Amino acid sequence: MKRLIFSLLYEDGYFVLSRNFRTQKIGDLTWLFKNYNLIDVSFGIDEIIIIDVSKNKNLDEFCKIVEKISSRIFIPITVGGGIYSIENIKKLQLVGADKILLNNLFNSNQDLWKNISNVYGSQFVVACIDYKIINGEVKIFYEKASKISKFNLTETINKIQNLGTGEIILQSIDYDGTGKGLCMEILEFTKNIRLMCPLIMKGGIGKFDHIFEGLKIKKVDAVCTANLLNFIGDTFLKVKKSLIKKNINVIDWCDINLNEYRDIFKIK
Amino acid sequence: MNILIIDVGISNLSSLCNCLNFLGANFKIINNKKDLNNGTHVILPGVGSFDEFIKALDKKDLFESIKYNVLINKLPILGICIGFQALFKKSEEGNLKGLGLLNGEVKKLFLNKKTSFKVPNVGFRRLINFNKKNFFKEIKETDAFYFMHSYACFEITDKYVSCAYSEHNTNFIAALQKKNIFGLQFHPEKSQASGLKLLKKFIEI
Repeated sequence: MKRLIFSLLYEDGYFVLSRNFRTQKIGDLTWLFKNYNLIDVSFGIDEIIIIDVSKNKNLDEFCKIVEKISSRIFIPITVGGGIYSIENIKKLQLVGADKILLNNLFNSNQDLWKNISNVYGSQFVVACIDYKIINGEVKIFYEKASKISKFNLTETINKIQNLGTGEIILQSIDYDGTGKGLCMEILEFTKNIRLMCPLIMKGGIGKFDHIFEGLKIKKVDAVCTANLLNFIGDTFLKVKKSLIKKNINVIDWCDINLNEYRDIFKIK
Repeated sequence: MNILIIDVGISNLSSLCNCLNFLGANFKIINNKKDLNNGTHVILPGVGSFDEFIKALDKKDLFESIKYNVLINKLPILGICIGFQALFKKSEEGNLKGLGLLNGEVKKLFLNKKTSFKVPNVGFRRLINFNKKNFFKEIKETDAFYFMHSYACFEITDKYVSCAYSEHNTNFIAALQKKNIFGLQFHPEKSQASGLKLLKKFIEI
């Protein structure tokens, strides 16, 4: 079944919007909970990714944020941003991380990547590949799009699959935060790559049509949006219903009456 | 009711605890065999690789005591993901012996170019070929569960076992009950209302 993923970007105490990897403060945790009733929202999405893009990393603070979010929802939570040790992973796991997102680590420490996958299993690792298409060629970037990788797309995907990766997110730097739709062109470049794990597209989603456009492609397993403003309130629930109407194979959590939800689960 | 959650140190327990809290259940996290005697139910959750998981159980001296409590004291046990795989005799993923509470072998999911099933098998899937009885009584065909695994058991030779399957290149056992032994290949704590229903069923036994 296909998945709709919501991604939250956290930066030094605030949730932020990103546009071409430049961020803009939106609101803190109180703002988030005010605008997104997470228990309700989690009926409209299938998964959540929380990424720490803070300039001054404070893992303990970030853990508190993850914990507060994870205690309210019962869907998978992937956590990422500056994970450079098994100790960090342990801390994040304790507060609710089910999977971790790796990106820069591919360029800085492939041994650790492999080690993480050996200890936790490859399904625990979600790889995020940031790219730009320049003159008809895919260039891979890392460290918040500041450095160009020496590996091309094919090499990167093959290597990360060998190191142990459960899912791959292809994130377009140029489409990030633009709301103009997903970069479908990238799929031309993945045609001849042997993808063994699920593929997630990210970057550019601004409205329902963009989600539909991505999910209707056979080899796209999931799409991810980090658009904090366009899906406020019960928008995700409406998106999910529209996807089901259009015969996209997503889960319908919506047939459960939210008010009855707690009553159903009172233990005898 | 006193549910014991076994902590081997490499699992994500917080999501499971959040679920049990939501269900209003009494539970305790334990990591030694001494505490295993005071429970009404035991949950063996897990992520990680097979050998790492078995090693961790062994290190905490839990391996034999789990077997004893489940087989002799008939303590209801629920294995989740790797915790479920650990209930079998062995796994292709590792060299160590499993708990052997279930007669089957865990094998690697395989790829087939003609189908779209991938490895690891990640995402929400429905259950098929199950009887709406006992453990599966409340489960509907439309319920979906979150899977995140590369290995699975395809067949079991035990008697008195009821299984629910999930589709892959070869359909695998997604959930089962054999008397007081319960196993889920997926993560009920990550499967919204569908998962909560099964957890509730287990703790009401």
